[in-house]
Amino acid sequence: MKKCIYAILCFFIASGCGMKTQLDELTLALTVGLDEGKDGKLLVYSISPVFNKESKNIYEVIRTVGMTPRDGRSKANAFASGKIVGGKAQNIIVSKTFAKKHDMFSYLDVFFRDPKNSTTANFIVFDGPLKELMYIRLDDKPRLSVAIRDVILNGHINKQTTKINMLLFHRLSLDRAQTPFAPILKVHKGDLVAAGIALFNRQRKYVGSLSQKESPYFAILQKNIKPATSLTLAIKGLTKQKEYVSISVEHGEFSYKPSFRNGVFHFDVHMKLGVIVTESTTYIDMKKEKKKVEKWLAKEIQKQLESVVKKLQTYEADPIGFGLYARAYEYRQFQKQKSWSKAFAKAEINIRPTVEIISYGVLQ
Amino acid sequence: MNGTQQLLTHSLDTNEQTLRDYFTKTPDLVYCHLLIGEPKKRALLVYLNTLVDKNSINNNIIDPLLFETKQIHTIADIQLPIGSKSYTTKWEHVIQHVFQGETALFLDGDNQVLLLDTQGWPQRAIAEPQIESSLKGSHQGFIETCEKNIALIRRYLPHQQLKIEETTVGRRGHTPVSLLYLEDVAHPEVLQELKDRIEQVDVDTIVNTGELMQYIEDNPFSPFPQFLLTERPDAAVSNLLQGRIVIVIDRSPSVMIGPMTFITFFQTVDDYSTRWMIASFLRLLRLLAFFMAIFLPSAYIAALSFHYEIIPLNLLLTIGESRERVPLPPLLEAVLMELAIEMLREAGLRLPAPIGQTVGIVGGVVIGQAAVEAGIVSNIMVVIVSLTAIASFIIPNPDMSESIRLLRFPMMIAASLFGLVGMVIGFMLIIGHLISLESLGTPAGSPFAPARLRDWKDTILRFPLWMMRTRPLSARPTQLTRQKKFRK
Repeated sequence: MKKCIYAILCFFIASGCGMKTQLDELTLALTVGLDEGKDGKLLVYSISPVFNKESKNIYEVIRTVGMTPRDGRSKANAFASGKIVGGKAQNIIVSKTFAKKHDMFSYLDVFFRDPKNSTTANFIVFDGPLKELMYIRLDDKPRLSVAIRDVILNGHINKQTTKINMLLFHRLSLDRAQTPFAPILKVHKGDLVAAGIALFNRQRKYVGSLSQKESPYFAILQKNIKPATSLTLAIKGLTKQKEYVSISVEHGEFSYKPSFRNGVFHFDVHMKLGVIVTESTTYIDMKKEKKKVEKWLAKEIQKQLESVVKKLQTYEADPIGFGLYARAYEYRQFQKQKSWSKAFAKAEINIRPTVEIISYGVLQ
Repeated sequence: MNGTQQLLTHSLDTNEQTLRDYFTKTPDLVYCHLLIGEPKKRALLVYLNTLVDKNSINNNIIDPLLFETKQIHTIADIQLPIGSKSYTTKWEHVIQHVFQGETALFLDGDNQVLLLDTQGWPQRAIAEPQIESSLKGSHQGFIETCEKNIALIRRYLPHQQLKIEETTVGRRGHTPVSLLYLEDVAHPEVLQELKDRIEQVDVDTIVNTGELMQYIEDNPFSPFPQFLLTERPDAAVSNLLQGRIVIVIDRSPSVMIGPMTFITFFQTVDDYSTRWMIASFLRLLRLLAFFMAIFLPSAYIAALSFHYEIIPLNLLLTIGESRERVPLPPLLEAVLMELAIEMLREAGLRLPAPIGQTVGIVGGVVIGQAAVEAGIVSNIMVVIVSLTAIASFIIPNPDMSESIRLLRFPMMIAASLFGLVGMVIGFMLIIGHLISLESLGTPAGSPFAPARLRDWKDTILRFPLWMMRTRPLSARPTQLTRQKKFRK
């Protein structure tokens, strides 16, 4: 009998029925969008799936005007058919103009502070006014939230853009040695397109972007090569005409060596890339000219990487994490810097890629 | 009748009268008057013609008696071609033995009765076990006659250490109960405990093995079985060799084995004749089935009522679409379907085979399709219920399978009230109960609690046979070595 009572008591210390969140009674905000309205007020969008067969749309978009995202959600609850919850949020989208003006971190605070919100949601910057995205009609795609997520994830795998979840954004925002970044999404002729990478400065404001073409080089600098990074390079080869060679980078070895000389940071970046030639518009005997081809490829890659780094330096954004190396190897000097971003902008960065061709393809 | 304590008299007529007084309204009792020997002497043959082998009586008793030419002084002078016979002067014995199908021979002028073994009651031929199908083991199953069952076991163990102790249970039924054990392996304390418990049973009769089991089990409030019931002699022998005790009960086609541990209900004797990798895989499958059968519906309820976050988005959308028209909360939906499948199972179980098929079709169509189309339950729920049902059928022991099926209902309620936390508490209670459970005074949680690592060879995985050189400690065997090391 005593045992029985203990067993029942066990259950009473558990959380009760009041905490219930019945799936049927919820409106799952799968995508949350933040934008600025005409009069400088915050527009909060949320997209949630609708499971009713009688309704025409498979998702609903709720737009509210509020002071903060949480304020916007409270107001949205008046519209929604169920309690709005963010536990399954997939995408947090901000518009570019909004991101330019405001410190993103303070607006995203609710997603970090409230544990009921998902921290694995993707953070995305949208190029254009957000209503363009929210009210888009994609007839050949799944639910909008899923479609957005898939475009970004696929773009990330193919290195056409990058991805960052809220947790990582949080870390990069607070880390002195790094700045956050985010994928850019835009609507092009009624379709969702991943369009490069947004860069944020130390103040978590949008400062500039890398194009879709620069994205793979950004990925290489991040040592993010797997499963394979595809590059198409224009090289002036034997024929002295414009020729294109496409390669797929399969693996790489990296070394970032920081040093501090004459008041500036120096970075020696060495990378050894193993590539497969997937396409070539010229008829050169690759086997014979292997060394030459490798050199051309390395040179072209170096050019591209340097231009990407230059761009980052002009924006004073360090999403790659050069600062991490500086902090690890040159801690004293790093500590002396008032702002790492400024120091990074002045840093000398030498990138020396070497390329090793693993395979020339099957038939030539 | 108070006369049963009395002794017989020398007068045949008095004895017959006593018999007739005792066996009133017993039309199947045959009184056969004979004149035997030279000079003729009156004799009386009494038997219940429903329980005897008539051929045996005609050929082995009546025929030799009629042609007896010797002079018969006492009953001891009668020589009959029957192996098993005994003498008594007590009415009590006479009546008991006649009721067991023996024939009593009374002789005028003698107060002794000759009891002849002429038993021949209706019995089934030895056939394939019905409930526990055998894949690789013997295809002989136990039947309703104790001697035959013991014979089946003895065929495997022709050894003098296999001891049999007989006793009877029940005031009216006098059910013969035999305890079989290996004297040099089984622990005497465990045996004594079992004997004491059986001795204390004071009932009318034991109709089936399951009844005796309930009278002598350690914890009647446990959902789990504490004795193994099997109808396979090879399973019984395998357990005998582990130092366990087999209880054979006359008139019941299954024997009872104890002491048991929790994990033994997930083992079958076929495991040992299957190669070890396959047997191990099956063991893992059964354990997985155990968890699925208990937790799958409750996990569904918990996830839908409390923790929608733990469901991956794509599955969440599928569930959302599937539940769109369902008017019931997850708990009701699950309980409804689980009850439906239990009813289906029970209905199919008791119905004769031709109608049984109809149940399957009706159940499959009505529950599988119509209920979903009507929007009463969701597709996902049907999948979960089917998975749960199949998982519970994988458990090889029917008793354990039923316990598990029962346990999932409280788990479902706990999950709907408290979510995952409730499930965890429920699970902890089950584990706690299993740890404290005993079978014949030995821990049923062995070899997990108490942890006996050496015995783990035959639990979650089944190690190769040549590696299992010792008997499991759970039955407290007095002799541990099972085999010598003869292979590396």
